[in-house]
Amino acid sequence: MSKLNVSSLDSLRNKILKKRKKDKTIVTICGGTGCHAYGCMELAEAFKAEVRARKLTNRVEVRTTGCHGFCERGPIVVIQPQEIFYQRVKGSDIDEIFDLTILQNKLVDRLLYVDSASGEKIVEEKNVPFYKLQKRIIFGNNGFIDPTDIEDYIALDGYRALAKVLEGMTPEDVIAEIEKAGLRGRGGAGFPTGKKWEICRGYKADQKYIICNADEGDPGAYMDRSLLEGNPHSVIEGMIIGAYAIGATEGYIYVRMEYPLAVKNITQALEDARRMGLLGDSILGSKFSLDIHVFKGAGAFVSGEETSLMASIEGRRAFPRQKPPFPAEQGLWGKPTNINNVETWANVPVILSKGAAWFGKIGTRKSKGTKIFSLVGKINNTGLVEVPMGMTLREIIFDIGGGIKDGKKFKAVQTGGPSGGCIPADMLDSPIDFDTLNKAGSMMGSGGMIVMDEDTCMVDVARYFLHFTQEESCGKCVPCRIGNRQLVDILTRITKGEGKAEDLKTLRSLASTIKSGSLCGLGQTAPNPVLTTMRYFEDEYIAHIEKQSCPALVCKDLIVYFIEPDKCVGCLLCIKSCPVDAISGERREVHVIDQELCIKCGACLDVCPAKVGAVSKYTGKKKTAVLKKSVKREKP
Amino acid sequence: MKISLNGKQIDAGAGRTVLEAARAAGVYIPSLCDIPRLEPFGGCRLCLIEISGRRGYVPACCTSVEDGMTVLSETPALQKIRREILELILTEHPNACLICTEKESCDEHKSTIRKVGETTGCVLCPNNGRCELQDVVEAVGLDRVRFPAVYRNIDIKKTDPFFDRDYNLCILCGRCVRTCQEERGAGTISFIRRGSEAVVGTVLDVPLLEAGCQMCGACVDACPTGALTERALKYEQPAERTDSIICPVCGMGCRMDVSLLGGRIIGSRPAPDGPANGGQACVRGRFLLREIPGSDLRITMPMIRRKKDLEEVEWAEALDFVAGRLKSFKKDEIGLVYSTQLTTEDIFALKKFGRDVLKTKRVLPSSASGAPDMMMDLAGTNGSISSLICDLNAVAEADTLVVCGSDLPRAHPIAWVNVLKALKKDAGLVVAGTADSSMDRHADVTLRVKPGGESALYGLLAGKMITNGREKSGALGPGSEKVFAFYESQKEKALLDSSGIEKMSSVETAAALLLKKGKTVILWDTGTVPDDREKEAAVHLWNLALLTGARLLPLSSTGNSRGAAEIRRSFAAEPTASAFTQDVAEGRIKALYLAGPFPVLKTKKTEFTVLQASFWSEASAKADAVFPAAVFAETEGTFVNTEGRLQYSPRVLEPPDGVKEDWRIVSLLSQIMKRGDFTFKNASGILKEASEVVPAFAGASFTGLKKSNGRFLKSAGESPLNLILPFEKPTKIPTNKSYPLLLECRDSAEGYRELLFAVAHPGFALLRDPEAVWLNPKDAKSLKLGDGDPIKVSFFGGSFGAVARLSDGVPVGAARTIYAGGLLPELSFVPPASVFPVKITRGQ
Repeated sequence: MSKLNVSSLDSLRNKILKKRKKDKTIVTICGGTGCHAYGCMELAEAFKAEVRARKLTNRVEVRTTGCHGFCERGPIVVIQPQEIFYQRVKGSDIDEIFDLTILQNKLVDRLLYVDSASGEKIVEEKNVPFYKLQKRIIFGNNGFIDPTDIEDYIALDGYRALAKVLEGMTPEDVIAEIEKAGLRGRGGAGFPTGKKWEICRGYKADQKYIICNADEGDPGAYMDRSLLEGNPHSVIEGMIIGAYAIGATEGYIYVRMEYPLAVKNITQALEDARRMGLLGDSILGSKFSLDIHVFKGAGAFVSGEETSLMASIEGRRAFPRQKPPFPAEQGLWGKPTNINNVETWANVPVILSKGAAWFGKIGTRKSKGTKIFSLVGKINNTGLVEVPMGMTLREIIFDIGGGIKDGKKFKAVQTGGPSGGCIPADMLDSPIDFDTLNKAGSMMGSGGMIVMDEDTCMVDVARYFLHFTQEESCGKCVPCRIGNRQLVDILTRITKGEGKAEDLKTLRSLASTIKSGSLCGLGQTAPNPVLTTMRYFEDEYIAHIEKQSCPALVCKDLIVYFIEPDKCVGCLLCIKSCPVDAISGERREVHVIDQELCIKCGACLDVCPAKVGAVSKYTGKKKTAVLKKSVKREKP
Repeated sequence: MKISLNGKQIDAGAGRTVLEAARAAGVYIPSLCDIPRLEPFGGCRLCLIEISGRRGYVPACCTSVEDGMTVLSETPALQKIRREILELILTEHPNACLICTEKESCDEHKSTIRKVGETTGCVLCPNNGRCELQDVVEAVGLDRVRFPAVYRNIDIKKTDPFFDRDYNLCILCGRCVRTCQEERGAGTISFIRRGSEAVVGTVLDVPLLEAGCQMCGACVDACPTGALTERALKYEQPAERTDSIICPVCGMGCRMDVSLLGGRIIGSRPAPDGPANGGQACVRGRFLLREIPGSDLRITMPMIRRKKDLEEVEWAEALDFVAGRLKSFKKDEIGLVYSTQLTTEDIFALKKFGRDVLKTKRVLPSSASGAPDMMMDLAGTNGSISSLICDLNAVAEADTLVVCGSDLPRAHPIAWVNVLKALKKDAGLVVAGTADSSMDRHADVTLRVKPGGESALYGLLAGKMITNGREKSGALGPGSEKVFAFYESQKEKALLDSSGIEKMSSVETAAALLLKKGKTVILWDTGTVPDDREKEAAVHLWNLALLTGARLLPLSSTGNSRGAAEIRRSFAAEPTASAFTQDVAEGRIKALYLAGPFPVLKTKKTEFTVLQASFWSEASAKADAVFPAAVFAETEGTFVNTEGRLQYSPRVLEPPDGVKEDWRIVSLLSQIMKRGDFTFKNASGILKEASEVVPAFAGASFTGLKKSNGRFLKSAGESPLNLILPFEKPTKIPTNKSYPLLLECRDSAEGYRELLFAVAHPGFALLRDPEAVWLNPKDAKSLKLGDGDPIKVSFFGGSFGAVARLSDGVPVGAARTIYAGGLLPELSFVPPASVFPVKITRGQ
């Protein structure tokens, strides 16, 4: 194919649209990471085989798309153009889908989504409550695009924003538009993107770079991955526009090698773009040239920090360095460099094609646009959600997320990944934007949202996150390397019931030293989980320290498992499941746990039938009482 | 530029960091990771400061001063953070003694009742008293650590020679890593692992030697704690005093601070203000100087062989014995060999002794006179060398560097340190040589020539200067048209073939770098035995330098090669090494006076051999008389380094009883033999005479040199430089069907006088084995040889035993070895040239 220019891009789009028959039924199968795990690729192959077998190739097209976001319900199949949303589709459902839906336009009832609140069955994807309340300006196209087919992206007005920029906008115009839109960086700190570009543009240099930070490392966060996997061209288009604005001629996409599908799709997308004249010399026939390379990170969490990311590209150990100088002045190989996160880049073409004014209407006064969150944890609807800034946590967790699993009580939500903070129930109605989250002691981060229910111990949660950041510290600066380790050690002691009265004071003091003394963002934010849990759940810390009690019944050293004699029916289930033979008893007799042998794995609690519910956990005084009464298991 | 620091106005030079400005103003801000010369790191976080108008705290070491800046370094908040960070550092480092309230009196009378174990106390730490952690704890006033210790419990790494690595004492300041990377360009060590397991180590944690470490010891000098400690010093008392001397081993002229205890040198560190080395050294200066004066092989009594055996006698008897025998030889029947690691004064006295007392023109330096000498030969008729050659500082300031024929990081590490300084400022680097080296990864272009292919390459490059753009200016001397014509008519393809370089494009790239505007420096080293081929190479390099406006730095191999070359010019011409050997072998030389190492030739026994030596060697067993001579630190004198820098080195040790300085021995002989004018009372007097005889030393005196920190040699007058017409026919590398491999013999200062470092310290043998002959694995395979096999290397005119070593860096069809002056019995041979054909067979 010959290289495109501004006008031939439009004619190509028209050609593609014309080529696609309107009356064709399109079976779109989500090819996201979540659905991959459910076996969507095999499912797609089976659909394709069925199309061939039924000789329907003229009428039906099967397309694997990017992530639809509703991972809880995968594999997801949407029949277009009717937008029929089938969830948890299995190979055995294919026949029926063909017989009823494709051939007769009837519904396969059992594959439809049932709204848990009303009990109603919902047909169209957009009416599923999970999607209905979202505003999917960045993520929405994922479900319509085969990420390996550049024509899909072009058909949906892809690269139109770039054409518009190259045709009639100066770099200053582009920066002004982004600034007017009020876009803030989606990578964590929320620095105004336009401002960042303007600063970088201001530095004179023979070479400038742009970088897309796709080193998504937060546990449970995968929105950047899904964008790169599902709609890579939107990121590339954003980067080209950004490079034009700041005057860069070379770019890197730094993606972790643990994201093989993202690497594959973005690499192919770059090749396709290059082939069509959207990258390389004289992009779309203009005077602007740029090439973008993929750089695979080796999987260190700290590489997401911009200066260590650049060190990594340069072939050095991913050590962050002191700022200033900021990358805009001295970045990659000492040249002015602009780094933005995947989601930020994906916002750029949307803003330029729909206008800053349109974009500015979404969101709050200081945080414009939408934000993608990965909603995980003890929540009914696990998945990726894109909502306008300013939506409350309650709306996200209960209306979109469908509330807490198993009807439990909500306790807290950790936003911003391991270095964010835990936000308690009484703040559920605060709107989500950069500033509110910061005020609450947490942060937007890259958009991780881990929901916790009443069975979560907040001291244990703090210990868990600190353990993660401590292990991922690069080791360069003392407060982060040693300070966080000491925090983990103190928290571990507390969860073992060995806390000391002065621990809270020490934790606060040390956490503040780490925050103000550390070199980079990793260390400066690492103590957030401790500080926020101490701020909102101090009583739990006190219970652990003073009463050796874990109110959430999580910390193994502080709880016992106990079989209630009045409830036990003597079914032997727990005896069979106990891995250490700590439970004794005969059929139809009360079973007893030998507390000395028990390793507190919880297997007995899991297997005890719900209607019996004989296994309980106790802490504090009750635990002591149980231990006093404990009997040794009789050897058979 | 003025800044306010804790309310006080201080002058801060532009471009400085706040920490540097504070240090200059005498304001203490604690820091453990920052050292001058290295890039700011910002790891220890002890130097955090507050700057008005900036959010939070910033490290002073990473913050540049700005005019009018207001800095606070001692606010209560900063003090709290600093104490807490220091407490954290001490959780990973044994701290019982550091924070002990009785630490001061403990040094005197162990007053504390809180005894601590050997591994956790400071008393037995080799760094006690020099530890920067101790200083910082003292300055911050820390007296308790609230956090529990997290001792790493890592085995002490003792497998490498010279120093131990105890990472239980490491505070991860990264100074060693950055020194190794930034200053030495080696990158042998790095941070490995992450989180609280992060530690300093090598790739896959292999021993340093396996990771390519050259044992320069720069990391040891950079370490603020006892984590890296010199093994030899672990069991020594603190030194009584420290003195500065000049290292006599190679031609760099490093100033070393030697620590002295009980009449011994116990250690040597590079002097931070050394004019040539600026705080850097190499394994030889850093770890081997201490092995020299006190070596078990020292000769301390004169000996003569009246009958069968050597017997110890008094000086008077020995002198009489030798004087009597020497008198019996006629003019030119005595061959004199002098070491080029001696002082200028010793060499001058020996040369004079040869001329006036032994009355011989057969005088030979023990080591090849080297590149500076060859350039001086060319300069004799074509201009003054001083306007062509440059100093190490010019290397550091260069925009383009060309390294010819030397593995700098091994052979001339201090030159390499200066190359790295230039590379940091984005200089271009061309590396031309026969084998791969660690320089290759820093190079813009590597020109891999086959052994002996150098002159073809240099000719090709000089030609490219003319064909690729340089104007044919007439200002390059009479006859330059002829030279232009010569280069224009060169057959490029044929030259490329004989150089052995694969692609013309890499030569083009190198030529383009040379033609770039800016300062260019060519560093050049020759092989062991200067031959026609190398003279031809020198001519091409001379022309290349003239055509590009580049400066040359010819590298000398031993401590005073350059000084010897200057002295030589005021005496009769010396024979070549091969002519001298021939004379010995064929009996024209009947007696040998050896004041430097010379191989024991098996061909014919000389009638009489006198040894003026410091150490026992193979030669001493065969000598008829032995005079014990002083070593470097036992005699005062001067050395001229490769740059032409004349430096004074004091006498810091008393020589053992019965040992005399070289100049004194020959003076005594002259008096007994009543020949020549040897009325020197001291070395200073010799320099006075030399300064009158040798133009380059004009006006030099010990008093002046002591005051001036050394000076450059006087040039013989500025004269314009001429292009030199190369030989009409390129010199061919000799080939011989019976000897299918080309052996390249590299002279390298691998010892001091008769003492081989590989013998003086087993650790050095691990690093550089003088017995090794390196082969390409393919050649080894066809010869059915494995790594470590004993081999016999035969050539036209002799053979020697060696050990085969395999390396991919050696080209197929070639072999290389270090020629250590024929010191090892198995290697006692004289190479006929720097590159010559050999046959390798399995030895016993």
